[in-house]
Amino acid sequence: MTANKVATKSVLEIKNLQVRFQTQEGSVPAVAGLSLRVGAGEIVGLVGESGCGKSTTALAINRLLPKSSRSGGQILLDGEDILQLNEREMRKLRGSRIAMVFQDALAALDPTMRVGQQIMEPLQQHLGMSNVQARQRALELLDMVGIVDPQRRMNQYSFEFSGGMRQRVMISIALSCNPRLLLADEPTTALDVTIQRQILNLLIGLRNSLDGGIILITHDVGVVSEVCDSVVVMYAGREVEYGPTQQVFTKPRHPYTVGLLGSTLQASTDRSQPLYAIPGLPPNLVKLPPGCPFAPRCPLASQICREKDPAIQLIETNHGVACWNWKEV
Amino acid sequence: MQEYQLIPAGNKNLVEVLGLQTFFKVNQPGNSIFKKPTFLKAVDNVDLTIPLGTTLGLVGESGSGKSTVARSILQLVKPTAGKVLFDGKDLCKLKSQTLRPLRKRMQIIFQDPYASLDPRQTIGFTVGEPLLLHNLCSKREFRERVRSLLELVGLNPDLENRYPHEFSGGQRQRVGIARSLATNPDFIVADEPISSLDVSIQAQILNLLNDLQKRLQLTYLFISHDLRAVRYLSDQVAVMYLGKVVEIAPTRQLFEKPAHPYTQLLLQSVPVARWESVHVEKEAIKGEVAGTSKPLVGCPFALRCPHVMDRCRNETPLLEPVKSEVGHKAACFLIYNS
Repeated sequence: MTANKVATKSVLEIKNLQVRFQTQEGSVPAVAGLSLRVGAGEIVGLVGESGCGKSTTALAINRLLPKSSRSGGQILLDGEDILQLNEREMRKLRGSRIAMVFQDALAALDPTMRVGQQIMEPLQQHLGMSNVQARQRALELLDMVGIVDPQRRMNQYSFEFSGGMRQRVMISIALSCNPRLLLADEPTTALDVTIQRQILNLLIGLRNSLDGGIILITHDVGVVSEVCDSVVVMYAGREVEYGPTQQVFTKPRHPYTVGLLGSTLQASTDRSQPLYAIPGLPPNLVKLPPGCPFAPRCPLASQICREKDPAIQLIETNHGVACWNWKEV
Repeated sequence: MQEYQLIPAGNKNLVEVLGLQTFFKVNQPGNSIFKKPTFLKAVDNVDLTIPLGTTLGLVGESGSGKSTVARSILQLVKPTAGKVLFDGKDLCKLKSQTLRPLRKRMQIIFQDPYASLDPRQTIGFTVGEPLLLHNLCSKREFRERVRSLLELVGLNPDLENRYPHEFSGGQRQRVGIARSLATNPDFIVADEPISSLDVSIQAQILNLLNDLQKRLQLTYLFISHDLRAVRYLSDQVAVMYLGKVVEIAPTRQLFEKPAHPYTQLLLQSVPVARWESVHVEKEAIKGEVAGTSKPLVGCPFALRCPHVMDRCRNETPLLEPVKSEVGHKAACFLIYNS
C-alpha cells in the first residue's frame, strides 16, 4: 500500500527520450529528454496539459509515431532497447508484451468485427491459441473485467456496448496476452464519474494481479493521487518533476506542479476563495523561448530561468525536479 | 441602450420551471409505422427555481437530461408540457415573434469552443453578431462595443480581426462567453463550459464566470458533470437521474449532507485530490444508467441502489423536503421514513 516501496526490477526504463516532428513551421521537439522507470507491479502516472507530450511518449513506446518523426534515446523493455528493433520484431511486441488502452474506445474498436473476435485475435496471433482455446480465454477475460453475460456479449458489436463497457473490452484485449507493460492513455477521460470509479477500481485491482507495470496517462491529478505509485509531471515536452506520488503532491518542488495542484478543484473548494489559476498559456513548441519553458508563466522566474534551461536534478531519493529555484518553492 | 431595466435585487426568482416535461419520439427498429410511437422521457416533471443573481448547478451522468432541461428553458427545444416562467412570463406560451425580444435576455455558452465558433468569421464579428441581430447598436458603435466585450472577458481587443483557428481552447471559450454577454443578458446557461479545457485553463474560466456574475449581476444555470466545478460556482445544486431531479439543496448542504443514495455515491466517485493517500479503492456505483425509452416503474435509481426496498420497485418517490434543512429536497423513500 505504500507509495515509497522500491520496486524489485524494472519492467520499462526510458532514458533521455527525444521525439521531434517535422512540420511546415519547423521542427517541433514534442518530447525533450524524458526519463522514467516502471517497476513490476507499479502504476506510474504521466500528467500534464494537452500538448505536453504525454501521448507522444505512449506512441513512442509502441513505435507508432509517423515516419516523419525522429526518436532518440533509449526505451528499454526488460533491458532490451525497443528503438533498435526492426518492424517485424516490433509487431511481435505490440499487443503482447506492450499493450495499450486508448482514450476513445469507440474509435479504437473495430465496428465491423464482433467484440469476441477482437479479443481472440491477439490470442491467436501472438500465443498461437486454437479457436476453441481463444474463445475460452476471451470469456474468462470478459468476466474478469466485469462484463455480465460474456457468452452473449462476445457475439455483439462495439456499438451495442456503452462507453464504460467498451473501455472494459479494450482493457480485456490489452490484458489478453499478459503484457509486461500496460499503457493506459486517458482511459477514463471520456467516461462519467461513476463509471470512471469502476474503471479505476479495475486498474487498482489489476496492479495487484499483473506482474508487469502500468503507465497511466491523464490530465487529472485527482486520478493520479488515488491510483499511481509514482508520478511524472510533464510540461512542454519535458519532465519537470518526478517522484513518489505522495511526496510530489504533498511537497511539490516545481512551480508548475504547484500551479497544477493549486488550480485543481478539490472536493471541498467553494467560491469563498478565488481559484488559483496559472496565468498565460503553454508555449508554442516551435518557438520555445530560451531558458526554462515555464519561465514566462512562473511566479518565481529569475534572470537565470530566462537564459538557461534547467536540467533535472535529484533532490531526494527518487524525487527529481527541473527548476533553478526549487529551494524557494 | 437596453429596453429592459435591470431588475432590482432581491430574492425574486428570475427563472421558474414548473412540471417541465420534454419527450422525444424514438424510432425503434422494426416498429411498424402504424404502431404507437415510443417516447424517450428526456425530462420528466422537473421543477426548478433560480433566484436572481444566483447560480443553479445541474449535475448528473450523461443522458440524465441536464442539457435538455437547459435547452427546454431557452425554448431551443419545445417542451412537451409544463411551464417555464422567465421574469414572470411563461415562455412556452409565447410565439416565436414575441419570444424574440426575450431571447436577448437569455444566452448560452456551449461546451465545445472548437465547434461553436464559425471558422470563417473574425472573432470580432462573432462576438458582435448578436448586437446586429437584435438591433442593439448602430454600425458606428459596433466596433467600440465589441472591443469592450473582448476586454471584459480578458482578451486583447486588438485581436478582433483574428480568426478562431488562431486561438487556444481557453481563449476560444472566452470568445464564446463574450458573445453570450453581447446583448447584456440577465440569464446565462453555461452548458459544460469547462469540460473540454485543460485544468489550468479551467480555473481561469471558472474565475472569469464568477467575476462576471458579481460585476453584471448575472443569473447562471451551470451544467457540468464535474462535481468539483459545480461546487465552486453554484449557490444551489440539483442532481438529475434519468430525466428526474432526485435531489436539490443549497450547495454546501448537498455536498456535506447528501440525502439521496445516488448523490452520496456520486460524490464518493469523484477522485478527490487527497495528496496523502494512494490506492483508495472506493465503493463504485454498480451498473449503468438504464435507457429511458422503456416505461419505468418505481424509482429510477432502484436498479443500482444499495438500499433498495420492495417499495422502490413499485412506486415512484416524489421530491419531498428533507426535514431539518431549508431548501433541501430529495426523492427517496428512505428519507420519508427517517
